[in-house]
Amino acid sequence: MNRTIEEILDDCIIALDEGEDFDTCLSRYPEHVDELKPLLKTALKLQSLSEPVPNQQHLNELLIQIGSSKKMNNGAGNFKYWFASVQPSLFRVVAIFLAFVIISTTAVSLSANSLPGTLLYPIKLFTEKVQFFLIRNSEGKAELRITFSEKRIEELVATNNRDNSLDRELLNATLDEAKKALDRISELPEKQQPITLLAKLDRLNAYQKDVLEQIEVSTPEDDNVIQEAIDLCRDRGQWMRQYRTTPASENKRNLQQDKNSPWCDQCRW
Amino acid sequence: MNYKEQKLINEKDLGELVAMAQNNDSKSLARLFEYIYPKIYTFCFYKVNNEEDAKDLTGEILLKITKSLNRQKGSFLGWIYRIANNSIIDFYRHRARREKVEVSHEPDSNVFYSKATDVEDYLRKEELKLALKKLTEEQRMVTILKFIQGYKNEEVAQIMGKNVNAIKGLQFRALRSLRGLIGENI
Repeated sequence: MNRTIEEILDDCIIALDEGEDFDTCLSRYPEHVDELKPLLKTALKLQSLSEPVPNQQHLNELLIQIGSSKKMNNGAGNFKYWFASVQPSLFRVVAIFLAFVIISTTAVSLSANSLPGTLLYPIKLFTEKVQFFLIRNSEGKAELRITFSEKRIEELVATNNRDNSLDRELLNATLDEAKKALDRISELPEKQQPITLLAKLDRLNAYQKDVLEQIEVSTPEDDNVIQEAIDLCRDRGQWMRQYRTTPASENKRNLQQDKNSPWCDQCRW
Repeated sequence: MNYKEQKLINEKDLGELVAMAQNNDSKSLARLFEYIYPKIYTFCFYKVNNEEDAKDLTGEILLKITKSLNRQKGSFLGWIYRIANNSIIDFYRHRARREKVEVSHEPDSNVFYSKATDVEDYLRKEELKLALKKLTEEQRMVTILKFIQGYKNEEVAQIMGKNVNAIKGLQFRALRSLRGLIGENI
């Protein structure tokens, strides 16, 4: 196997280090003598360069300086060491957390205007569930139900504009959310039932009726379903007006006992 | 323990010494620094060619080593030479910024050349020392570590983070360049 000049030179340097005679070493590689000789001489000369003699006094001074700085920094040093050792994992955790926050915030904000059938719509529904879970009082939950119902009716309008058809699931959802809002209101103690929430629900019901009447024109094939929903909204509106004008002590009884109420569990929505 | 004896410390002993120094054993730390001081000092001296700068740099490097010794992992020698090399790079960078500081090419002190018995030999060594400065960073590092500090190829490879064949190649090119720089004067 042919050996490179680098390897031959290294072999010669090692041989000379181990005490081999200069000429004997060269004689083993007659074909490289001219090239090896000056290089080996240079190597030998380099080896003859003395290592500078270290200054013991300087070393002693350094050791004293290092000893005192180590004592001074002992407390802070431990913290620094601890911080340095946890730094990589801490940064990793913080980076992952930040990435998660940024991605989820972006996804949630992008999903706010999404419609059924799009990739982000499930995120929108999930966000609503989380929102609902985080609210602890019935009044807040009732308000959220009204908001969700408003969103579903807006989506119904948007999908109708887009596809010229009726999304029955959205229709069910908007009416169902309105019913659930009233359920929540009914859970509140009689004296605390907020007039503003009832008024909001009333306005929502009227809005739902208006929207459905407009959609009915563009979707004659779903005429029956829409008509049924419009009738329900009308009944609910009448019932709501009666409910709001009745004394508070009777409202509770009405809401829970009236099996014929358009808000009851037995009705379609 | 004199410096020649210190040079003979084996890898296992060095590892134990480092571990004890990491556990804040001040005697081990002192022994460790007695062991590495001449290595760092020689390395700095041949890099900066100036006794005072080499002393300052050695002090600075030992302080850096003290501060981060607890976090040291892997090859200890490789680690200290990396710190030394980076400190020397910083030193040159700062000096370049100051500009006004003149780089001395004059021999610094006869103390380091007390073994040079005649003037001619002394001058040849000075010439060789100056020629060293004209090598590439890696060639110079291999030359200092191998021929002046006496490390084996494997050790040089470990310190420089290269394989042995790369070290042999650098060694060959360094010697050829030096020969080209100083001609037949050796």
